[in-house]
Amino acid sequence: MPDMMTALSPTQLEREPVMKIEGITKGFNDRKKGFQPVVGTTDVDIHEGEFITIIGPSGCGKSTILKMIAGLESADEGTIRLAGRPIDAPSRELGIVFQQHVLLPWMSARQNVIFALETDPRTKRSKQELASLADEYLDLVNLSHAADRRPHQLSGGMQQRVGIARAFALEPQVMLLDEPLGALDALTRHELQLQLLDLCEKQKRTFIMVTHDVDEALLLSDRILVMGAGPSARIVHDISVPFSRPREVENLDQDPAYHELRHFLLNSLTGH
Amino acid sequence: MSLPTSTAPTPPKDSTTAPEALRHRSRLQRSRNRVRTTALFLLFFIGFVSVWHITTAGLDDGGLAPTPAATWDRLTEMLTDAFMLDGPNNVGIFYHLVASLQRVLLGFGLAALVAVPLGLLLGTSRVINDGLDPFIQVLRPVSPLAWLPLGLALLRDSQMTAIFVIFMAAIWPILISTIDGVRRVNPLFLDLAKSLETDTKTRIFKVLLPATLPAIVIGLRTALSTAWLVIVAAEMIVGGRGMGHFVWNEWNALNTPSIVVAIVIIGGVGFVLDRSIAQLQRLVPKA
Repeated sequence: MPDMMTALSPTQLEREPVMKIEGITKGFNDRKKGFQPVVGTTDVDIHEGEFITIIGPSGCGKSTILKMIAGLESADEGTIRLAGRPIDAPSRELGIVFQQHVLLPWMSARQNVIFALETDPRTKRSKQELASLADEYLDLVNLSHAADRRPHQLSGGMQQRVGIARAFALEPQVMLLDEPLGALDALTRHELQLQLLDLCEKQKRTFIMVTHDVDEALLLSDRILVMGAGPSARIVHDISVPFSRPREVENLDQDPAYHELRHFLLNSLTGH
Repeated sequence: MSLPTSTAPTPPKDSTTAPEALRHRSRLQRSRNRVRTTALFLLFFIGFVSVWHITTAGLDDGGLAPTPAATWDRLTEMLTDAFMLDGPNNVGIFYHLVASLQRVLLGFGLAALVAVPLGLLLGTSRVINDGLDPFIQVLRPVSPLAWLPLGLALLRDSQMTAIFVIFMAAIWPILISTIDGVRRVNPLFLDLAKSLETDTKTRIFKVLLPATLPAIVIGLRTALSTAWLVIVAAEMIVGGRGMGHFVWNEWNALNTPSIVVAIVIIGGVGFVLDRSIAQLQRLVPKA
């Protein structure tokens, strides 16, 4: 594996990783050839506060990997451990932001966030607590003014922001973003990338994002896992993104290292 | 309406005059269309009554064919005597109507109580559905009236039998529509519910049921109109009070204008029933 530039701080290295992916594989059983892997990973350790992006050509199975991490699909081989325990079912410790907004259409933006909060079996909160907490998280994505609107009254970007607010509200150990900006127009997409950058620098969380956008990956992540093309796609590169935080688009654009990395990523995605 | 898409909250306070003018124009267009449709309706109505009059008046058939004039007389008569209660066999049209409505609503309500939960179950569980599906597919095309003799034999009560027939008429549309609705629920909603670790009760009542509601309402609407169709035929057979019984009685008395009046009333009440249940669709969320 080339380009193994690990740039973890000493404190991160000392601590146990929050998530350990231990060689997971998903595949199918062929009658003649036996088990045929379709998509998989090597061992990956994810440390607290890291922003990890899985990038790969379309159809390589990035989303399947994220679904396995989320516990929505089971791996045929290998295990994923969250804080030491294997993940075998979806959990509130893994906040998911889906590619399309998954807001319940009969609820307002605020009620959608409240729904995520009130279903928590561990903490019972009063109605007022729930509402003010929901407003807090909507404020985080600058949506206080739209809290009472139904999803169909929101633009695509706003819908996705409500989804992000809801995932944050769970206070999960790891946030999983499945091409969260994939369905948006270029302008809104860029706007939300900046907002996401701002959010993850303000709220130090652990993120795993799937995308096929190289610039998005470079802007947001600490580490990029590059998937090869299928069939039997695997992680071919594990790249550290060396740019210091807080990041600015202008500064990145002037950095020759940024363009070098971008070039490298584009080449490995197109298979050159 | 323009929605602010930027991060800065800018409510569209000063809505410009251009959309306002456009809205005014389309309002004008709509009211003009309304005048046209009303005029057209009146024209058709007058034409219809004229043709009716020409074909029936002066016909040498012993007054069997209902003329518009005779029907009008009968209508006013029936409406003035609507609340008449003159012995068990001679009651006003109102009581016939109430009897029919009672049977329909009871049978329909029971069908909904059974079909909605069953539909949710069958829509969720492929295995149970595949096991029960042959029954549904074979029983569904059977005319509800075929159950009538069986009902009489087993229940030994004409009132109960009529309700049972309505039940058999109403259950299939609700069941099929609910199953279909559950299958069409966005699978990501269920993924979301799972990832929130919601319990089964929350998953059913807060996610599955509201998401299926549009399909359920469509099923209820179809079921109610089917029930209203079937009740007239059923009452012709089981007797007692009711619109069907009334129609059959009037036929036996060769009183055809009454039958025309009854048809209009049945149609009107059916229309009102359909419109009332359609109001349920207001509860249904916009996707």
